[in-house]
Amino acid sequence: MKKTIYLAVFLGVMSAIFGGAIAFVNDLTAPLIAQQAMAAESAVFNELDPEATFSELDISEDQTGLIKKGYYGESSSNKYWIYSANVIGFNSGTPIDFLIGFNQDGDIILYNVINQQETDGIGSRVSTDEFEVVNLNVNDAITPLSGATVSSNAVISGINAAKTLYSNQAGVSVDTTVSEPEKPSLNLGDKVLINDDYTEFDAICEESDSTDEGNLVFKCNALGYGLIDPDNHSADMNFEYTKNEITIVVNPDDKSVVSITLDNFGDTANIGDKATTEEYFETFSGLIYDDEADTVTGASWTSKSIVSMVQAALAASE
Amino acid sequence: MDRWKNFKSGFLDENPVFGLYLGICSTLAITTTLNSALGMGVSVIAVLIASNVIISALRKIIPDEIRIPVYIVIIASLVTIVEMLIHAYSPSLYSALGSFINLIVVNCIIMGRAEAFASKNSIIDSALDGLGMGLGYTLSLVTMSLIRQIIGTGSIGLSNPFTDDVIFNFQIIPTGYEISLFKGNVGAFLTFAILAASLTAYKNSKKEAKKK
Repeated sequence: MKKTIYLAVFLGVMSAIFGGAIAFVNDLTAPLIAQQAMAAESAVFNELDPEATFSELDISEDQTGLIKKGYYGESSSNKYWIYSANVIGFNSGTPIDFLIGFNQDGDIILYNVINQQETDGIGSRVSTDEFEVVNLNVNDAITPLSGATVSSNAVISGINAAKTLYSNQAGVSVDTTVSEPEKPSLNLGDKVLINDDYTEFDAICEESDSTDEGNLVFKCNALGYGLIDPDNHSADMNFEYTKNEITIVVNPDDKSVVSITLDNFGDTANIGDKATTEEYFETFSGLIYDDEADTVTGASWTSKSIVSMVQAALAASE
Repeated sequence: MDRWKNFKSGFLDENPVFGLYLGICSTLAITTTLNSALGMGVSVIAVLIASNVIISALRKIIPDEIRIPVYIVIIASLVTIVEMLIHAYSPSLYSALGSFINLIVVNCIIMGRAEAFASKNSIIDSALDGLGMGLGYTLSLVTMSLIRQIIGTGSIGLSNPFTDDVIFNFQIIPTGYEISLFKGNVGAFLTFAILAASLTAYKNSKKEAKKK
């Protein structure tokens, strides 16, 4: 027991000594780092409107804790409300620092990421033009980046906090109800030929009752990611894979796809189901056997499972 | 203890990256530009020397049962200090290295040398070992970055990390003839494999020459 206490105390003392060393260096470097951030902000203000003069705003009304500073700027023709936000994205160790600015008309005229340490090529995209924020109106919804939803939703929460402050301080009406961020739009990948070889998907279609308009209805099923080569595809996952099932309506006159509806999704949740949305199925409307079909980025196996069933239905309608 | 032999062992014979296969994660990720490679290399040298010296100085009082947690406290603190210094004095390098600065904590070279050498040898020997291993690691990073940057972008350049002033920038391969594969992950693995194989071949040839 004495030995354990001695070891614990020793470790505690070492941690305290080195913690003190970190605190000492932090005291030395924090002012320099803050100066750099201020210099970066000043450069941004100057680029936005060299004629405007800026002063600090009171941000005590911010309830979220995400807004660190606020500035009010005015020139002969424009007024600006700019907020510095600090949010935690995917990299919880280093926050995303950014500036968000609005003008007197409620337009977002400034979005500039001062510092971020998100994953390169993924979360770091929040600091690129791909993340469309500028020129939106304050009441427009901001679309999160597909494949970087954690980082972009974190930034959106900071922007929403800034919008609330802006609404109070500028007197501009802003819809501040908390709403779910818009889901990212369909991200289509490579096109594939419908008449290509999809033997491995083992698609089977059976004709069902025709519609009132005389269109042919096919009930189809096919293997997906988890059932094709299950040892390599699903060995490390706990999903219970089943066949994908859809209903395809085919126009008997021109042998084209009229509509597709989902009956059963059997692939990996949150991955393959991107290829089972109404939006994706609509891309098949009017396609015939010799056409190319779209696939969904990140859900290519399920996409091809769908295409294999479309092929089988169109072949059966010949 | 032959200090000179021990110091230079980190360059080739016991090169931490291509010989001992330590610190590969950061090697593959950082070596896209010469600036990043040098920046990371210098950071690792600083942490290696400091951690080796401190651990060697405390080796007789650190209880054996908790030596690994104590090493981790020391190494993590040093890395945090280095990160703050880089952030304050070289923001461009801080942006370039990103989260890989923090990953120095789990760089196997540092913990490996602490356990294998610093905990058993004098302060000066440990400092020299840290310097030798750090220089070997930096040499590996610089070699990889030179190959990847020249073949992948066609040019090689270096800028001052404190002022961002360009020191030199040469176009070696004409635009359009570079192989962009080398800028990415595949190129990193390819370059690593070629260099590791070359070092192994060199070491084998030395062994055979000794036998003869």
